[in-house]
Amino acid sequence: MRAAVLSVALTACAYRPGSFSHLSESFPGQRTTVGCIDLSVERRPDLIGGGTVLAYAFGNRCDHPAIVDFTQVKVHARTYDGRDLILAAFDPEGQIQPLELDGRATGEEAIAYKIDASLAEVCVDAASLTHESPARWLCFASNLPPQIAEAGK
Amino acid sequence: MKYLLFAALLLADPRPVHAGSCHGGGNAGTSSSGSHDDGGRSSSSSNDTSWSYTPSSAGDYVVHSSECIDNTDVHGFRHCSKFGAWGKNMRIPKLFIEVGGNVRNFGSALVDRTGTISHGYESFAYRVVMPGADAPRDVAMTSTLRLGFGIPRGFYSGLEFELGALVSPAAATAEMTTAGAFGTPNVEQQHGMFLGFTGVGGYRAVGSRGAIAIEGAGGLRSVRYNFDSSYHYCETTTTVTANMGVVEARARAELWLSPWLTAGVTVGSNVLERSDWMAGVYFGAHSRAYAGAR
Repeated sequence: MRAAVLSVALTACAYRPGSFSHLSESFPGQRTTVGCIDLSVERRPDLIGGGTVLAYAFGNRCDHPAIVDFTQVKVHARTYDGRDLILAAFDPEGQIQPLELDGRATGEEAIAYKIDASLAEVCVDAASLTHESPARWLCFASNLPPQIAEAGK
Repeated sequence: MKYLLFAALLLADPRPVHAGSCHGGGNAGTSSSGSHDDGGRSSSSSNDTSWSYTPSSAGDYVVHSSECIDNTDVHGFRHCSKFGAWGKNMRIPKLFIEVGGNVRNFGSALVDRTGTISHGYESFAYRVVMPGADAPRDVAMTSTLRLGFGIPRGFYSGLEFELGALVSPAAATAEMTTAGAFGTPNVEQQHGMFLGFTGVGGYRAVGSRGAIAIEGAGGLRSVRYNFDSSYHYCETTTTVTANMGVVEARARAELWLSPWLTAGVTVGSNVLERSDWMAGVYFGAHSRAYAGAR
């Protein structure tokens, strides 16, 4: 019963456009606005097995639903030896699909991008998440010095 | 159910419980464990899901509880929640639920009613007399519960259940038409009960601060009028029940308390009995922001 009351209370709180904050969501990392979506992307510490994790937090500025499509997100990376790579989301059960985010609602997802390389830089096209154009690239450098990163491989 | 079954298996298995046994993993390349921890959220291990199992004893009962706990929120590694929980409400239809209260004023259905009262082995017939009123009226206060769903282009439909009390029934007395060994019972009017069940359909126009709607409602209404009867040393209650059809035209205005919550007022009139009216207030919750109408 308490959970139901809490759920109602939380869902009753609408996301305020441009605030990049909400009761149940934090918006860490780089922030941008694409279409109806206020988006923040944070690069988390890399996977030891290889790859990186990007945490997305998003809120719908509009009163109507907006598309959030992780299948279309473009993520590029550059290794320490200068190779350019295109990363794909780690989705072993094929759950990732285009979804609509309700008006004035928020959400968050942490997506892993597995690859057998140490990544010096990872860039994500924020606009591709919402099918907007032109591209809006957010780039994240590695938080480890190259020597340490390579030694970890 | 799945969790309870798993908890039962754990109870029967004396081996230590290992984290990550939620769904058996099965993800290629996820056998490696550990990661840089960012507030405990980023991890690459399939062993990121654990189950807490807490048997507890309460008197003669043993309570088993289990809970799936992920040590990571990274999609593909977590097991307790699927991708896209934030879009869950968009997968269900546009639903709404409203609770409120109404005041209803309507013509009494007691006029010219007859009935019987039983006291032991004796039965008495009576007819209802309503002195001094050409068009006696009842007032009821009711609570309402309404469930509905949105239809494209601003239309909606739903079901409404209404339950309440006759707080001010039209004055009436029971005039006995038969008598028993000790004369006739003494009958006094009491409050009654109101019950209504209607289907509703309407059109809602959503604005920036609120919405207005017009709707029609049709269904059944049941009004129960209670009379206390005392005869010799016997007391009983007799009820006159009036069932009738109702067709109402209503206007509603509501404010958005949040994109998913509304508060509003409604007024309406019975199409079949033009002098019958109702007014009410309500709170509503919607599954879609702004009823999905913006």
